[in-house]
Amino acid sequence: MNKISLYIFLIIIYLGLSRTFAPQIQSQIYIQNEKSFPNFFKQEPMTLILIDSFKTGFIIKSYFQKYLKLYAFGPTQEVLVKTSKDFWKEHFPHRGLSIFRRYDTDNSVNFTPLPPGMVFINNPSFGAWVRSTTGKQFWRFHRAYRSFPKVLGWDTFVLTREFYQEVIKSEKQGKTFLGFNNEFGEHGTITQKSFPQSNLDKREKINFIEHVREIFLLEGMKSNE
Amino acid sequence: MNELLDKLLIRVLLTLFICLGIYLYKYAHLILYPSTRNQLFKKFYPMKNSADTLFLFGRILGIGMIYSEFYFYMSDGVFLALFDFMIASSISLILYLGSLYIVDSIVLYSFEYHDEIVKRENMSYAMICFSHAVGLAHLMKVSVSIARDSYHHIPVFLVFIWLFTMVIIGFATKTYPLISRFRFNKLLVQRSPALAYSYSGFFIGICIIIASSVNHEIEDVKVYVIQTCLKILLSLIILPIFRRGLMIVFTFQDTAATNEMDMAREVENPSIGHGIYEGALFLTCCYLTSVITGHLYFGTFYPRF
Repeated sequence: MNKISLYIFLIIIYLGLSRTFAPQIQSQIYIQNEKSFPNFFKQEPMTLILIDSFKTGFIIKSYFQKYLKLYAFGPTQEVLVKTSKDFWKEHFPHRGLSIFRRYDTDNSVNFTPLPPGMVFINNPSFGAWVRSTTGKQFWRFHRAYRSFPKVLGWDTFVLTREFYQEVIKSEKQGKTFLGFNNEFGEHGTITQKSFPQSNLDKREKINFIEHVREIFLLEGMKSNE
Repeated sequence: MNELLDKLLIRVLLTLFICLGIYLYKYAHLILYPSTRNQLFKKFYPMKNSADTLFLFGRILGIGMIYSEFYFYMSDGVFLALFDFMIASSISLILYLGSLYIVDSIVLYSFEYHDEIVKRENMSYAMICFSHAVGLAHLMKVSVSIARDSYHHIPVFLVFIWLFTMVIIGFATKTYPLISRFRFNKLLVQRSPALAYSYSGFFIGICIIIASSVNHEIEDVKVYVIQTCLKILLSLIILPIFRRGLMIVFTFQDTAATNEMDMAREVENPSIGHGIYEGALFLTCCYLTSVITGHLYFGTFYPRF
């Protein structure tokens, strides 16, 4: 019994030490839940768009999320973080949505999943509402920020006043908003076009017979066949 | 043709250098064992003292082994290649002799070379020293290989790895009573061959494990030390699996004794078979463990980010 206890103790020590000193773990940001965001992302105005979710590992899974960090006055960055399983599952359908925003007006933060870029809307520093010939109001960014729609992955999407009002309503209620026609999110047409799934956790299917042939046949023999 | 001649020249010089190393060992022997001053310069009859023969050839074999991992970087010219080799090999030889002295002092602290080999012709003592010589030479060979960067041997790394391995081996030799039921000092006084076989297997086994654990690239000293300790820890986890597995598959029995009295007698006066079994089992398990903890390549097991 003592020997078994000692053996289990050794295994636990080994796994603990390996995990503690693994270089990739030391340099990896870990997001337990949305409350971790304000500690890591302090600039404002800023939006964090979830652009990919994947998991790795055979027996024990590790959960990863990739974000596009858009800070108005700095370069756009892709950030890879390790997350908890619950947080990962909660946000899996929210690919292409902004899951964290920090406003510059009152430095407030919000975690409701919403279409990307709403942190810059209705802010005269970034753009203005323009009325079209049909009488509808739509948002236009100033020249300095004209690249934002492309970076935000809006593609051909035009942001109208109604859409924005619905966004504000959802934000107040803490309810996810995917667009009037579900354009954003995991199955949204705009998201699928702008932020396609990387499939990092899915391996290519390999033909077993081909694989065996690769092992046993030399290059010359393959070409003769 | 020039290149071939240069290579031949280096091979001849390496041969001479190994001979010089062996010759120098004769004088180093005087420093390590001052009591043998008179004996060493007398005529030596190997048939008369087989213990001394085994002892001496263990050391010679060890010196040969440490020279088997050297590289000659001919791109900088023959002279610089030889100069680098001489520096690295001289340091290796000194460190190797130092490690022999340290390990002998730790393990055989209550025994004297002159008494055991010259006077008593203790074969067990000679065999233990032989295993020390071979095991430490293997370790030194691996250290030389690690200390080499892409162009030159680095003496600083060599000294660091040597110190590090000496600390590990110092602790490891103290674990023999945990592995074996034999009483080391008592059986060595009795010149028990069983002890010699058992201990030799144990010592060469731990050298294989330590060599396998330290055998990875040094990028950062802190990371290197941590990785080595983790590999040793992993070896401690893997080793009992092989040991238990071999014992189950081949139905090995630790003892043939049926009662406590016979068991005590077996420990007091072990048979050669018992010693060979202990030594061979441990050595095999250590080697198999080193296969697992050594260089296993997993490829791109997980996606690269």
